[in-house]
Amino acid sequence: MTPNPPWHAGPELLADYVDGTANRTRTASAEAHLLSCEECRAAVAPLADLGRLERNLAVITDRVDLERTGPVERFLYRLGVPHHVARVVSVGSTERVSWLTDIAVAILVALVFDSFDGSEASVFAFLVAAPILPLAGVTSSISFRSDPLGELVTAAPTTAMKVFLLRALTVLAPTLVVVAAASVLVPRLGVQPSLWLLPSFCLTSTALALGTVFPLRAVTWMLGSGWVVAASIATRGAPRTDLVGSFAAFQPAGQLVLLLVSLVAAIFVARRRDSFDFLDLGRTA
Amino acid sequence: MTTTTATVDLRQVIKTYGSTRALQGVSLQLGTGVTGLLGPNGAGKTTLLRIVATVLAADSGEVRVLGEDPTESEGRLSIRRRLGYFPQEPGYYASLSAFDFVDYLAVLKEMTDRRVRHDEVRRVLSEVGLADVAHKRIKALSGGMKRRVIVAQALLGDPDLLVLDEPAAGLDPEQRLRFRETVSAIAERHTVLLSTHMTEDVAALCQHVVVMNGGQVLSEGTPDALVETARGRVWVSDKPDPAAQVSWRTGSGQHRLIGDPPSGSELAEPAMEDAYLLLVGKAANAEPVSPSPSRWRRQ
Amino acid sequence: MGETATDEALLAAIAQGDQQSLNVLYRRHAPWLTARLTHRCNDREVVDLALQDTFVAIWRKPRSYEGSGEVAAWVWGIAVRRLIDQLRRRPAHTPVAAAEVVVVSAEEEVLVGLQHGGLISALDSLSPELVAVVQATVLDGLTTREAGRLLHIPAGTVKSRMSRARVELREALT
Repeated sequence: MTPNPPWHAGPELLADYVDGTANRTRTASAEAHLLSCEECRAAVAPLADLGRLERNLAVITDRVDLERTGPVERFLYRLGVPHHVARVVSVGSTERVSWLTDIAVAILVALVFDSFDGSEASVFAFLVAAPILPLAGVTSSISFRSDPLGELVTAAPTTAMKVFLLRALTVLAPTLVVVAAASVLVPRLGVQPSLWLLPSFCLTSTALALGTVFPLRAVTWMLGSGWVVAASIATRGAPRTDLVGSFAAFQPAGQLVLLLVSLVAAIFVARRRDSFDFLDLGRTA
Repeated sequence: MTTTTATVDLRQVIKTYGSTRALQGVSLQLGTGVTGLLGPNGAGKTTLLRIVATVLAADSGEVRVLGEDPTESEGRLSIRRRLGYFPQEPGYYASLSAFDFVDYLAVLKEMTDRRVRHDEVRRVLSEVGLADVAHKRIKALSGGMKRRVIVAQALLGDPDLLVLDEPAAGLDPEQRLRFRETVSAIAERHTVLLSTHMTEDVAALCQHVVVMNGGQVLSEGTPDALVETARGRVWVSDKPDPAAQVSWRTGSGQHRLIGDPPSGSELAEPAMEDAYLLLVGKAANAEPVSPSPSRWRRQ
Repeated sequence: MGETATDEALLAAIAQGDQQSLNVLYRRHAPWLTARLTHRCNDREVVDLALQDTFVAIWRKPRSYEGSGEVAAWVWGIAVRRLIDQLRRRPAHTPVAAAEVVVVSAEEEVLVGLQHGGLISALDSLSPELVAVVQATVLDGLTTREAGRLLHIPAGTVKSRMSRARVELREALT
């Protein structure tokens, strides 16, 4: 039977142990004792290197924080995005996903598969549908109605416009990547990204600009359907072998116009950056 | 406008939306301490609080909050940095934990240093008594606890002014009581402007009462002063009197009447509810006059 | 959970997602853990990494503590294995067994001997490499293979040294 005297590793033993100057016997006995005595464990604490302890805790805290984040946030960190920015972007992201985006993705995927035959019609269809995806994505990411925290966001010092642009940019980036990947698969398009990039920028920036005055959802529907309607009108009666060439938006002159409109819209948004500062839309005091 | 030392200073503020005038030339000066905004649904309380919280701009009139003008963007920014807000219909991200939710709002309140921010989030959560459930998802919390999460985010950064729009609405009496305790503990160290349509909240918490109806301020002063306005106008009788301004049957079987004394009645000691009803009359039980907030032309 | 909660209570709170409790647990155990790890490997960086890995592991799986024995012993089990993982990534290292002999009072020797059934007091009579093996397998509770990784020797050598150590200890204790 091992006797159980109230033996404690005294201050000298503990100090020697921590220093590394205790012999094997005393070291082993100190260690064995510490495993079962919380008093002596507490007595070791003042002997420790406080700076080192805190530094290690900081690393642990960082790593544990990372464990608690969702996949979207973790992806953003990997890209080097600062923590608080990633937080703003990813919070509630699942709750803001719009069915509009889902439909747009589905259509795009269908068109990609359809266009493997390289036919003019399917390439044209892809080009018309491709800008809709970023448009829908941006709208759904910044829509107030789908953000339950809209009023609190408005009341916070970080301007709502900043939050929205952040979200819009981070939705824009991956959707553009998706569209780019899809376009690579479409024959003939790999070297002409501007054919779908410029319409994307134009539609998205115009939506944002008009969205500072009118309700964004209405604007999005209007622009999206307007674009599709324009495409069908322009190519009515055109030969089936030259649909792309019949739509001005895909011609150099038209592309230039799209670029200019995008720039004007961007300037407009910048000048009206206060327009989401109030709940009643479009109000800059 | 002359400089003001009041926490909130409104002069002739008008706010219209659609065809309704929500505020009809409201003037108000409020100092420190707890001010209660009392009035029925549709009185314009939410509109007033939204203007103070800088989420709405007045159509006309002068507004100063914490000495700043919210119609200027720098003024607005400065106010928002020093203000905590509890909106009338608070929204939640139900799948977030209480901690992460408040953390998100702390980021929006410009706390970029994560360690400092997390310490602050922990501080406000324990101030409202939610330290033990900080890691629980909001959807798993009770109604009273959910509202305390919103109070916690309002406390971030130790604001100079707290604007609480019907914070205890929809809570049962026991939850209301606990909620009142939370708010009164906070009120010891902050300036608070809160709205309610329940007189007990005001009697329990406020040093200053403003009664509103129909977009106008009907009365302003201390709770006692408000109660005094009903002195001599409240009666108890065995039978109802149709000529009374407002009357109802109490639990003890008698009738409480406000207005001119009917025959055979006794004078009663006035309570705040009586004074409120005197001012507000039948509108106290009316349906909301103004459109609900969701009809705002928001994005 | 506050500073006065038991280790078990802290672990339960950690299982619920309470990061503050992890911090409290850390402040309680990190000092002695650091010391003990340093006695196995004198590379500061490796010890720091092992310590960090330990508490992240505790955060991830607090329920793997099954409620038997001291939490401190369970934590040490995690820590020493994390140390081994860190050492595996490095080509060579010199593990450290107990330091040089220091003169100690006879009284303390006897008390120590009584406390731990005499095993520990006999350690001084062993050669350093045998002590290291005894420390790893008996005191730290590692398997033969883990001990081999910690000490950077093949498992077979661990076994043969343990046999020699047993023989010598038996002689020393009788």
